[in-house]
Amino acid sequence: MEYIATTKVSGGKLLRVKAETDGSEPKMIVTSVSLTGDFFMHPEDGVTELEKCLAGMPAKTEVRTYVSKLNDVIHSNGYELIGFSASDIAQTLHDALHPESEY
Amino acid sequence: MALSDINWRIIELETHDAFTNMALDEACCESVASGLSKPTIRFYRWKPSAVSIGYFQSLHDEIAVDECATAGVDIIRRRTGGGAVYHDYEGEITYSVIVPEKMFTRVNAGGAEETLGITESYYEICGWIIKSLARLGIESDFKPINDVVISADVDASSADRVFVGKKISGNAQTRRGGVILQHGTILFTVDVKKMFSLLKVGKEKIADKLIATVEERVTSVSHVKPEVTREALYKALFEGFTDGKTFEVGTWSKEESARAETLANERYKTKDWNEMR
Repeated sequence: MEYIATTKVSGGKLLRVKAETDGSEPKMIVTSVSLTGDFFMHPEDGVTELEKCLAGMPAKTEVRTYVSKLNDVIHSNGYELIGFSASDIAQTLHDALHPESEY
Repeated sequence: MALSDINWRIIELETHDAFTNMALDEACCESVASGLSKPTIRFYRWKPSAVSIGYFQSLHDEIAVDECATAGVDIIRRRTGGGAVYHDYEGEITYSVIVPEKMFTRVNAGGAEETLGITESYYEICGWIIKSLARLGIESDFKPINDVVISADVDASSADRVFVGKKISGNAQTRRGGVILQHGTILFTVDVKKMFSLLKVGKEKIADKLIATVEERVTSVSHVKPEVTREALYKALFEGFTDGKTFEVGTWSKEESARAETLANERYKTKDWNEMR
């Protein structure tokens, strides 16, 4: 199943997260993530590493866990995100998977 | 090497299709990276008119593909991030600056030479746009992340003549292989209705209200200074970008032209590239 959420980052850019999942709650798994939008990232190819690091995680993962995983990839590769952050990706992914949640 | 020591090649205003324009940027980056070409500033227009999307954008989310085909407007994905841009043949002048990172430096407070970061280099190059517009009597300023906006009104005699804060130039940058590529557009005229017909905004959303919102955020040289011709804008850009620099007007090398043709055919015209996201 595909889930989509879009965030306009305050003072930043638009970020759209599409997530494909497998299985059903409570064991639903994120199988793939796509990040699109008008943001900047250097180097650009690194976006696929960010997408890949989120695949395989349980859909019930907390936002801070997504942030931690993303930041590991960002810092270890020296990626520079402009107009959005790991927190924005994580929160938007969470919003996509749990549109009813206010967390 | 300080910025002022760079010996630039200037490629004067020329017109190509979208695929050749983006391929020339990349071919030039490769040539500059290998030391075969000098750091380069180029000016160009797009014919046919085209829509470019940022590297990370989804083509089918952003672009009304059928409307573009009907209007004879090309579609291309850029190597740079940022948003979708309608490059109207009559409506803008585009520039590219291609320079090795190691040459794009400044001396810091401690007296050491350091490479300009991404934000600093936006400030530097957008500063050349600001200087160019000032030659036309248009005051503007850099607005992070990547815009140049009007900073003072020429004649605020009515609401229609208030331009402060409106965007007049959008810019985007990538750094690959040790080379900075920054390109951007300076708006000469804006046709918001045409722009919206090509971008994928639901038909129901192409209401006067939304168009008015864009018109409230974007302006052009012709709006601010109706007497300025495109030729005068180009002259101001040429002077603003070259002011204080060592440069010579040059042409593409045979190798760059050949490489650009290959890149246009094998990357920029392909579905694999343009529909990558």
